[in-house]
Amino acid sequence: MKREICAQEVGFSFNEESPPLFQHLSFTITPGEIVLLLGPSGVGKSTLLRCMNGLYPEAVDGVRTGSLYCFGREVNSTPAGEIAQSVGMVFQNPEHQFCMQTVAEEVAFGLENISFPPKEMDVRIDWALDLVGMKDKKNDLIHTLSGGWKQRLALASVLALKPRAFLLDEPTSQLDPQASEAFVHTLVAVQKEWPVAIFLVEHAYEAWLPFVDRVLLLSKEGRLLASDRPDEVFTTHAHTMNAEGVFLPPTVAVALQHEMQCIPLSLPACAAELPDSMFLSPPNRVCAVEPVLRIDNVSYQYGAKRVIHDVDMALHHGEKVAIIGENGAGKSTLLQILADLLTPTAGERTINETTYAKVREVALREQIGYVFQNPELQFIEETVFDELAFGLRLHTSWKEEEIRERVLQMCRSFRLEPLVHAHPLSLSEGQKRRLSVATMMVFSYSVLLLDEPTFGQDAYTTAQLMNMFQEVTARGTALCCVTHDMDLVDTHFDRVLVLSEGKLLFEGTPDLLWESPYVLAEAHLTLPFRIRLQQEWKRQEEERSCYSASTLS
Amino acid sequence: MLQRINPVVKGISVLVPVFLLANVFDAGLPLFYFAWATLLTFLFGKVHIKVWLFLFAPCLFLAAVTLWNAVLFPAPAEQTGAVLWTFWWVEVTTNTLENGLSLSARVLAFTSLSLLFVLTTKPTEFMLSAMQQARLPPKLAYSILAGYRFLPLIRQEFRHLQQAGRIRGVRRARTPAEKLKQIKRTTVPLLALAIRKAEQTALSMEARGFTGSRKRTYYHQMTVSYLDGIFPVLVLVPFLVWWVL
Repeated sequence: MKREICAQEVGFSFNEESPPLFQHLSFTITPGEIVLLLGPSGVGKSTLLRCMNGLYPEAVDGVRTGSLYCFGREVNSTPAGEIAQSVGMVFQNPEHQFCMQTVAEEVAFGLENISFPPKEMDVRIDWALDLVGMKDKKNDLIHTLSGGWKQRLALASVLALKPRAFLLDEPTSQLDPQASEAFVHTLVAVQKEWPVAIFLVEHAYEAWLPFVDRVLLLSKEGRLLASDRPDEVFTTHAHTMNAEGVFLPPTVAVALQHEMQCIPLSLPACAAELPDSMFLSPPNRVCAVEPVLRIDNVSYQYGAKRVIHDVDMALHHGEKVAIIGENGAGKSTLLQILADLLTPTAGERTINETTYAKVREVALREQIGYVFQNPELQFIEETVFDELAFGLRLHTSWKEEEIRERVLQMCRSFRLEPLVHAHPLSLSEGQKRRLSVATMMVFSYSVLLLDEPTFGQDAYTTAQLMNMFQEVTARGTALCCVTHDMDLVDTHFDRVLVLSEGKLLFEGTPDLLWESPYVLAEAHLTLPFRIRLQQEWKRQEEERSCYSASTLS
Repeated sequence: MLQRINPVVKGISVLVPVFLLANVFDAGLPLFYFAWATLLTFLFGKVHIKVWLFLFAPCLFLAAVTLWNAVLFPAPAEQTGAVLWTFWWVEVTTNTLENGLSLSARVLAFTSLSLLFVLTTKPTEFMLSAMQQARLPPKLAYSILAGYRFLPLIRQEFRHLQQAGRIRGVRRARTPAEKLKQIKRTTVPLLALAIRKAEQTALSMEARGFTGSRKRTYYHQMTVSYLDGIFPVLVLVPFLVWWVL
């Protein structure tokens, strides 16, 4: 018991009267293990994590029942400094975990808290930074680091206390795919040097799966459904998980879709189970020809730096276009130029064959809609109803009756009906996101621009957003979306633009992009799951035919 | 050199003349102080003149307005002394002019003293020294440091809010009711986001063993050296000269 984390009959409720969020949870986690906690959203996965290092129930005045021992001591009766030395935690948002200016100061902060001797601090800081691969960034200012490096710094500042367990609360959900993968690999490397127990909560856990030793699965009622090896858990519970809206790894989703006998977790296993690659044909893509918006030779300079370099592009009625590329490639800048939030330093922009300069601001706003990454910052009114009615009241001469009817209809189709009178800021994350897109859909824009609308969203919200996009484009709107998600590009978009260092590197259908290895390598893009599976299937097929040819001869 | 002086010592040394000057009704000494503090800033502070001027300009304007106000709209009781000149209905007397000059000279002196402190002190070091030398509770000091990190984020959020307003076609507020609504529309989301940021940062700090107690060690030990004995005297020079004369 001294060497592990041990939970017995643990339960939690936010106050005495409210029903428990989860209860009767019993499990152990031993050093060197990576344990993934799965369950439907709202079941209290993050809450359980926060109970395990004593942040909860104190921070929220909740009630925790049962016993929770971390390395031989009950969490609730251990002083904060001592818990921090046995259990460390990394949180979701890379922006909100730091209180100092430089990397070294931040790592030192935890050591100062436990009264670590100042003379030995530098050695310990170097050790921790070295393990996460950022020793050369010791004196960097934190705000100059990218999200991926910030998460590694968060890891290092916890690691410096030499804890025996890490609690990870969706550490990669706010990172792009490359940065997520780098973070996972860093952590696995750290674990080889410093054998900690890792307890992980994550929505999109595909990158983690090869390293996960055990999965704990919670039911909708907050009970422990399973605690077993990942393959066992998915084989037994995949259908339940699917029904309860838990994200499934793509191989498992394919297996369910094609009713495979056993549930594969790796790509080769999945390809071997697949009867025919016919299942993997590309989705239907719209080939639109009637242009709405065009830009020619557009460049944008910020100070001495040229962020956008001679870009030509067009958006057509009824198509969905994705803009992809590395961080800092100029994707958001390009989108803001299209929306006329930034004025390019050179080049021509036209909408419906009129140059932007000749269109009045009000008229332009009637034609172009824009969804920001952060929905909170675009709400204007104080109720969901007024928020949706705002655009109609402004841009149309409809009677209040008609507006009311339209708004209620929108609320129904976006499942916001019970919330018509709620304040937009009081909604849940997924609801806020839906509302922010809905406000841009009550009114038919010619062009709808979206800045990473699915970033940090769970699978369920993402699927809903995609349905909404389908509806908009069916009505003839041109939709243009900045994204990092290659699977999304593959399944839902008609055309894709690849930006690299401000230049347009590629323009065409996703299918053409997947066959352009040069572009993929240059822009550091990964292939979507469907293509990787297809390639694996072909490789196996070739192997099989080679094998049968050799046996025949 | 000014950068190396202990921030708390520097802060107190700058505050002392501020309090002394508040009791001096004369334009000469504050002007002397203004010149002296500016001289110290540039001689020992390695401060860029552009940055200094950028921050000084609004205060210069404030000083001019102060002078203007005191001369043109004096309290009737102060309108004594010989009349210097009159135009229309305004009478400028020696007394009102003296009043105005001393007030605006004070503004200049306070500005140059504050700039001397602000432009040569790193916020982190000031907070560390406030904890180590002035016994400021760590709970407060680290809250301020964490909050300081949020400033650029909040500025960015504010810019997004303005852009979102443009996109949705929000018209410029004209009536007081509209203005009130606009203020509400900007502050409420910014506050909501700020609270969430603060909560998450607090949890992350607590998870690393931060309890707010004074029992802690420091990576950067802030010290008091011989320089810190010289600086307060140096700052008081104009006052001493004035007093001797």
